[in-house]
Amino acid sequence: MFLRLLKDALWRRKGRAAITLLCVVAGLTLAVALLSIAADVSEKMSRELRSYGANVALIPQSEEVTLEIGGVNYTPPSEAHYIDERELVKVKTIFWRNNILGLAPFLGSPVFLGPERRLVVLTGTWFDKELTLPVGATIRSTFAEQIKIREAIAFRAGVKSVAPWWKVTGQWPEEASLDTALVGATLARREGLRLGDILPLEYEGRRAQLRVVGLLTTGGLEDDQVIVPLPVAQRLLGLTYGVNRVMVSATVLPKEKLASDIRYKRPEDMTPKEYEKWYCSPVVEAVAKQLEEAIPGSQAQPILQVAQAEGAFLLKLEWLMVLITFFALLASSLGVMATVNTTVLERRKEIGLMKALGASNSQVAALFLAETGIIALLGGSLGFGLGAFLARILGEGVFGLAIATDLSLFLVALLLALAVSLVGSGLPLRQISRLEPVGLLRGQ
Amino acid sequence: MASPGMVDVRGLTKRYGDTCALEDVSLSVAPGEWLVVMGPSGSGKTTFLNIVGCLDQPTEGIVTVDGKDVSHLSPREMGRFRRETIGLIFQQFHLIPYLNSLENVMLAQYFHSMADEAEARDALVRVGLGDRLRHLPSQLSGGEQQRVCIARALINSPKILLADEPSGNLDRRNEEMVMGLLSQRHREGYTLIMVTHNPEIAQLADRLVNFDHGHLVSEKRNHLGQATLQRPG
Ligand SMILES: Nc1ncnc2c1ncn2[C@@H]1O[C@H](COP(=O)(O)OP(=O)(O)O)[C@@H](O)[C@H]1O
Ligand SMILES: [Mg+2]
Repeated sequence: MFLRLLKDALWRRKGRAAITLLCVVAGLTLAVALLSIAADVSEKMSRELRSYGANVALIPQSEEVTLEIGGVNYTPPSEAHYIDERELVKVKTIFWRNNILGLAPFLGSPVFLGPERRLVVLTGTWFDKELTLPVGATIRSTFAEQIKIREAIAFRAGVKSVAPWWKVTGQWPEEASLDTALVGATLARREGLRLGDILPLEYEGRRAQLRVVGLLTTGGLEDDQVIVPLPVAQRLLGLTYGVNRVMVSATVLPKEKLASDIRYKRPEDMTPKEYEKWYCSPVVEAVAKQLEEAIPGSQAQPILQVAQAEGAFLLKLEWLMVLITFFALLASSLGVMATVNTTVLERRKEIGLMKALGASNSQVAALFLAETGIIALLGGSLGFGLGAFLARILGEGVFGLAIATDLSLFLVALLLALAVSLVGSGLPLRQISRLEPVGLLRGQ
Repeated sequence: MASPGMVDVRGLTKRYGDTCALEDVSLSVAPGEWLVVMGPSGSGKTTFLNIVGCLDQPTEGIVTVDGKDVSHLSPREMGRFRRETIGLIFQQFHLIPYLNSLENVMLAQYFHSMADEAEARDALVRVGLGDRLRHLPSQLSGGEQQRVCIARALINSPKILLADEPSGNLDRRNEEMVMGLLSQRHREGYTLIMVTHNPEIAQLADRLVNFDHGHLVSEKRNHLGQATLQRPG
């Protein structure tokens, strides 16, 4: 009977139901579209943030200005300064050693490819290398104290630890191999290179024949480079050791977490006591400072600020979307409220009658709620469909992103639609208990 | 307080602000009795039905219906009591416009306990609407609508039927048919309290009371009782 009542109430009062439906669909369409975009943007954001997985860059200490473009050092090797990669294990001696999550050295230089001697950028690095700080090494245990360790500290370093988003089709080169290489996807396309091809490289008369074992996609400059194990690059460039950049990834807290007395002070201006406090805080500047102290000939640059600003911006964008969504749903609730209110007014005689027949407030309210509930579910489904469509159009048109609406949003859409109808019905339905059937016999 | 009547009203007064709709009315209705209430407009007839039907509460006095003191019930208790005990027949029928005859009757079942389509259909057949089950109120004549209303009032087997000018909106022919139905219910043993302006109809009842300005001014036992309605011509 309940269902029949509902069906007839809805079907024979299509006009009113359609208006409520419209309110829900409009709100949900916008909500689903924005949530889809927000969800996708936030995913892209987290990828973006991970691409800044490294938050400290170590570069060789030097007085001269080095010629560096896009992470590649164009200063001739003979004149350049290098960081000795054998010292990198010392990152585990600093006070904040446990906050170091990963590191990767890079040695980059333009070299010649093939008989046409086309210039390509060669980068040597570690992919996944185990480093061990041996027994007896000194580490900093407190600000003022150093101790010798009685157990070796082993950890993994390499691009996999600082740039987990690197995607390789094929295989990663063996760390120790001297004749394998990754080729960036863009470069491979341009040069027509495929897995298994031989790559003839040349630099100042030294030659290397490398086999392409994997194609690399990073979304960055590496897509246009040849990436090889570090020793391969060093041998071709005629070096026995040396890298021109080390990316370190460390967990750090934002500056805002610092005690307020030192938050905006430069370390140079601090009292010794303040300096100690700062030094022992896991902020990126302190970690950078300690890395610089630990690795000879290095200069540390925190690079988090950029990522933080970018992250903060995206986060704000996301919040903005959520806020707009909220207001869209609120507006939709108000629309539902207006129609339910009119409905209750229009049907107050009917409500009085139901109560005269002995219906309780909750029985009457249940009827109205179920009615709007059905409209809500229908509206949620339609809104999901339209919203997904809108997200796609907006995504392509405004953001240039192919935005796919996650199917789990369907459930969210239904729940939101129900919430909208519930919020919208709440106030009007309270009138039900105030509508008494007394006037019914008088024809009021 | 054990009382013999189906309805016992003692010292009933109902005031709306300054207006005194009923003043010190005492009246008893026996089980199975058919009482007709008459009086000029505004004399308090509807107020009386409202209070006996648990749609309203007295300002003063005690009203006992089916042995239960209903003078001080909460709205929720009044609702429950109406559902179980009272059948209401309205001058304006008050059918739900988007439900057909059958559904209008089933609605009362639904609020009472459980909808039972077969039973609802029987009730409509008994008021002569077996061929109007799926009609919406707008597709029915006034007389037919009133018969749906009667079927609905009877569907939960109430103890008392209350009818406020049930034929006030009907033509003569339909009035007869409706009265025929009601007197049949009376013969079956229902207690019936009815407001009417038609003296002929009043002749059918067991007893007639007159209200004026909220007072019960006269009472007449009808010895003809159970008489059949005089058919014109
Ligand atoms: N809700 C109300 N508020 C104020 N006065 C009312 C209300 N209901 C009825 N009255 C008054 O009570 C008196 C009796 O009304 P009613 O019982 O409807 O009379 P009847 O049914 O005999 O025509 C009238 O004077 C009417 O104006
Ligand atoms: Mg009246």
